[in-house]
Amino acid sequence: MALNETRIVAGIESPEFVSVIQSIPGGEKILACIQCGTCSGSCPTGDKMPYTPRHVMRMLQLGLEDEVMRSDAIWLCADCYTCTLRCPRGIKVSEVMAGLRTRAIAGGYARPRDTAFHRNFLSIVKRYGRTYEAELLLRYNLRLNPFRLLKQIRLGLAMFLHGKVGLLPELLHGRGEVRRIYETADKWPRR
Amino acid sequence: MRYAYYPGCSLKSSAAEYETSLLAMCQALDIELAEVPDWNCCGATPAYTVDPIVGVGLSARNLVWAEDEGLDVLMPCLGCLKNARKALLKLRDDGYRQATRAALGRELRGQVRVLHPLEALVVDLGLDRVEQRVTRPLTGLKVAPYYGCYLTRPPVDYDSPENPQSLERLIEALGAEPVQFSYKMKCCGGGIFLTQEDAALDLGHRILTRARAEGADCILLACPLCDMLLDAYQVKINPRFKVKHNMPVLYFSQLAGLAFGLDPKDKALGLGRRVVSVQPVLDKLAQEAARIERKARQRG
Repeated sequence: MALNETRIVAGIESPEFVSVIQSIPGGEKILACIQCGTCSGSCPTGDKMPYTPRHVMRMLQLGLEDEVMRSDAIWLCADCYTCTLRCPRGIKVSEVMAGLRTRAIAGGYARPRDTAFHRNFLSIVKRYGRTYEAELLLRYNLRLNPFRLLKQIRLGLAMFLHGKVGLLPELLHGRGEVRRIYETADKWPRR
Repeated sequence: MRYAYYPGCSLKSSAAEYETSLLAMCQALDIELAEVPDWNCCGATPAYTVDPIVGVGLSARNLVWAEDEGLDVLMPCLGCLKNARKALLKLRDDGYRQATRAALGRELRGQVRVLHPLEALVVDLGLDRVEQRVTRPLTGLKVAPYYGCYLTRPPVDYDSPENPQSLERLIEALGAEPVQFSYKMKCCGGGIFLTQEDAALDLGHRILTRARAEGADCILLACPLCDMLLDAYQVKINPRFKVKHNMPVLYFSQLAGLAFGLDPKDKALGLGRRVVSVQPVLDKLAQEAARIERKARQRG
């Protein structure tokens, strides 16, 4: 749905979804949003989003779960906190956006291109205990589009010549402890 | 003054010059740093996004040692610092406390103070001490202070979130001239430069353009993510927007090192590791120094 299309919504589509938003710390006051647009005006990537932050807040108030969860808006959010700083109604928009991202992944709404980076990153940290940039970039680009790798060559070379690329991974003594964090999280009962 | 020191992954690879210059700067100021033993990655953006319990656990593991030693933790990377702050906040919730205890096999009381080196300079040490240490004031250099997002958001005690001044005051303490930089807190896209490259390049381009328009000789920053975007990524921004920014970008610790009299060629300063050459900065400093010397000779 583009910004200039209109969809008439007769009432709250999904009250359950509204409750979900209200359960996110920072999202309790979602129904207090007065659509002032300060968040949208402050957003560094708002002009690239299919729905601006203000628009997303309205969709949340109406419980439009599907549209919000499938949108690019939540993935274009740069997590810069400017909206949260300025919201006159005390809504922690950044926390709501972050909560939406987590739920989009958990609920299977997120597309591979939105989660490929995250999954790769986390699996590398689980294995080594620290990031290993070379493997991360290799896997990420291969997963998405091998031809992207070619585009990165110029930057990669510039960084390599300036000694900015670590060739070997660092291994933690406490790798097992890091793995244990993941395993505990996997088994932890969720609300 | 003694701190626990948590470098984070970037400072050991792509931002190594941030670490070396930071260590040199701290040594010059008699600040002792004890690196957290066997620290792990903080999880950056993916950890909290995919599973907040993993995010809290990863940050918590890094804070345990410092809490036992009773040390504040210096965190030069704002991504890592933001995660640590988030973890400490979430640990007030019983659910997260229990999960973290199970994950780490021990309790984290959560009373450790985490801070950015800038806060250490401004609040703990005092900028007058920084100024006293300056042997080669950076006179004549116009510096654009770049705060980015996480130095002042969520708000900190020691500076304003809407018009912070601590970087400007640091720049002045080093003898340079801070430039009025209206984009000083505009997000650079550092958190999304891999997943949303186009958006990040656009943000970086705007910041670089603004800095040039305000007459800056260089940009000063305090985070390896911002640095990636504003320094290294000029290689991508230039062809994309058909410009040649050539804007030198430096960590505050590198400028401080210069002002403290370190040789520009000193490996600790790491000026050679800047993707965009900082030679224009060194040239300007040399010019200004020569000009001042000429004037002094004329008078004397």
